[in-house]
Amino acid sequence: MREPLFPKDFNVFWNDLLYKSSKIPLNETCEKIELRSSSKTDVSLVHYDSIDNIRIAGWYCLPHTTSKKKIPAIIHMPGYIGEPEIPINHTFDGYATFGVITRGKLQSNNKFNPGFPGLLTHNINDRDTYSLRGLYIDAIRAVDFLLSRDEIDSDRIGITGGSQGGGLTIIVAALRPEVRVAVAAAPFPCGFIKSIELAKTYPFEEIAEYLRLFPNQKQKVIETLRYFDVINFAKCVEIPIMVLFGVQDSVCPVETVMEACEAIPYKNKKIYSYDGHGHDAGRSNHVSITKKYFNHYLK
Amino acid sequence: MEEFGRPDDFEDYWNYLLLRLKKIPLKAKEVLNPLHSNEFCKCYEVFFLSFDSYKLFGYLSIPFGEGPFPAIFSGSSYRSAVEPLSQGETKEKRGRFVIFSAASRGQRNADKPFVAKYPGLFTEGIDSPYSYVYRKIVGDWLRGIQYLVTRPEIDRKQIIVAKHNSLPIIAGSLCPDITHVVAKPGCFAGINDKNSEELNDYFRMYPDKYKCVLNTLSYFNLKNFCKGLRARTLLWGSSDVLKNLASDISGKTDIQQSEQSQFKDGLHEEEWIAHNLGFSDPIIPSCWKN
Repeated sequence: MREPLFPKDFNVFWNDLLYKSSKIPLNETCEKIELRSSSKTDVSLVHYDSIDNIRIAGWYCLPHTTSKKKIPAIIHMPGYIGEPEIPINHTFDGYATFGVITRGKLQSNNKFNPGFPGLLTHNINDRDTYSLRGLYIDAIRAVDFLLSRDEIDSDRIGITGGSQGGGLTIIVAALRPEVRVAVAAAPFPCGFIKSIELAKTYPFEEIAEYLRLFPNQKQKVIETLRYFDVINFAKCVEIPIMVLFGVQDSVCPVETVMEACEAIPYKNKKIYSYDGHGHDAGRSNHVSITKKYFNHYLK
Repeated sequence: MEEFGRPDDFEDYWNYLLLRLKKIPLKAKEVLNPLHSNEFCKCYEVFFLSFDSYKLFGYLSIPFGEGPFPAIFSGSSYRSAVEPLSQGETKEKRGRFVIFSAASRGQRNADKPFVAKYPGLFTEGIDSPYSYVYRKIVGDWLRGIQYLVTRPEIDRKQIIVAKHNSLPIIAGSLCPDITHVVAKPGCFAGINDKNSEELNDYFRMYPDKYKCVLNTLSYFNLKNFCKGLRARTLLWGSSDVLKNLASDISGKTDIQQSEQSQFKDGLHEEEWIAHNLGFSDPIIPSCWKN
């Protein structure tokens, strides 16, 4: 059986959430951090409100420019376990960048802090309170932050990330038409149950451990995860997108990542499969390709 | 950045830490964690005391079956989270090795009263060697290793410290119990890594502190730890950059250049560990086997 089954009310569930979150004022703040800023780039620590009354942080980087023209922006989505780095690299090419710090990570964990391991199974038997529900909305609202900025050209917003950041890239690309182009590396989480069986590594192992301890919850867990599977979001991606992955990825099994790639309906999607690479997804070989792709659509 | 040398009181600086650690009881407490136990091992949450009686935390995995087992000490990465097993490593590894994944101060479950910031931790207290947080973090690593060697399940002839940063070299030098080291020298060897940018930020913001920061870093200069490192060692990096460091290490040392592939690098490291510990095969994820 191919997994996941697309829930009949998948679109209703997410449209409803998008509508609810759109009614929450962003209440964004943006504080320049002198220590991290330089003669080339201003770095600010941003905060904004997300659902469940959780305040989300992010790193906003603006290249210094004498021009008064609006500039393009690239959103950087975070991986699952690490702390997001300040995404200054693309600023050297003239982009504003915004690195989102989703709930549960340091600086976004005042009210919600299930830990790592822990976040992936927090309320996993209930789609309406599952951790990823809020985390995905945190990511989606990063677009709203950029749209709130006078200096950003709202027609030239791109998005990128690796691992969970790759998954969030696909999710936001699917749900926010304001995003024009996406580059996702080793997207996580695709095909939860199959991935658990194949990977035997963290972070999917968190769910395996949960199911081992609470086997009677399995059906509820599977039911919940159908609403959060990147494969199901991939089916809704209609914008230019590039996905890269490593064939020997021990975190995100290649079979499930390929299923997400196949599910993307956008005709001119670019899929790069790197044999001899793991969860790095061959990114070291891919820097100039990614740069060209963003420049093509955003410059 | 200028080369940082060897301070006159280098030995005293580190001996003080070792002496203080000796005087503080471990007060280790283990609590079985059924969630993170599996078919290969039992997992315990361990709470213990470090330098300044700071309360630390770690996950201890003990394989089922008869020991003694080789042991892996997995010290802190540059992030807040600590996992029972590093992301991407197959869970079967927990059936061969006793694995102790220990937090340093500031990381999750070891963040009272000190909460580490990323970025920020690398320059915390860096104006003076006596306030620099990394002296305490080295103490936390040593403390974790001290705890690990108290475990009756481990084979004391096979204790590995493995992490892709500089700290396994320092820990391996200061702790004679360590038999194998896997490390990736970075900022403490004057090599650019993810901490370099934080250091550059600090110098840009506080240019007048340049000399005192270099003085602090001289106490962490990896070159000064090489002679004391007798363990069998694998260094990740360029041989051009690391050859002098490697030749100074007392134990037999290999250098391996990263292929920028989690698969190829991971496979090499697992094979190196298996080979040097006398196993015929490494324990690797199934997708690496063909």
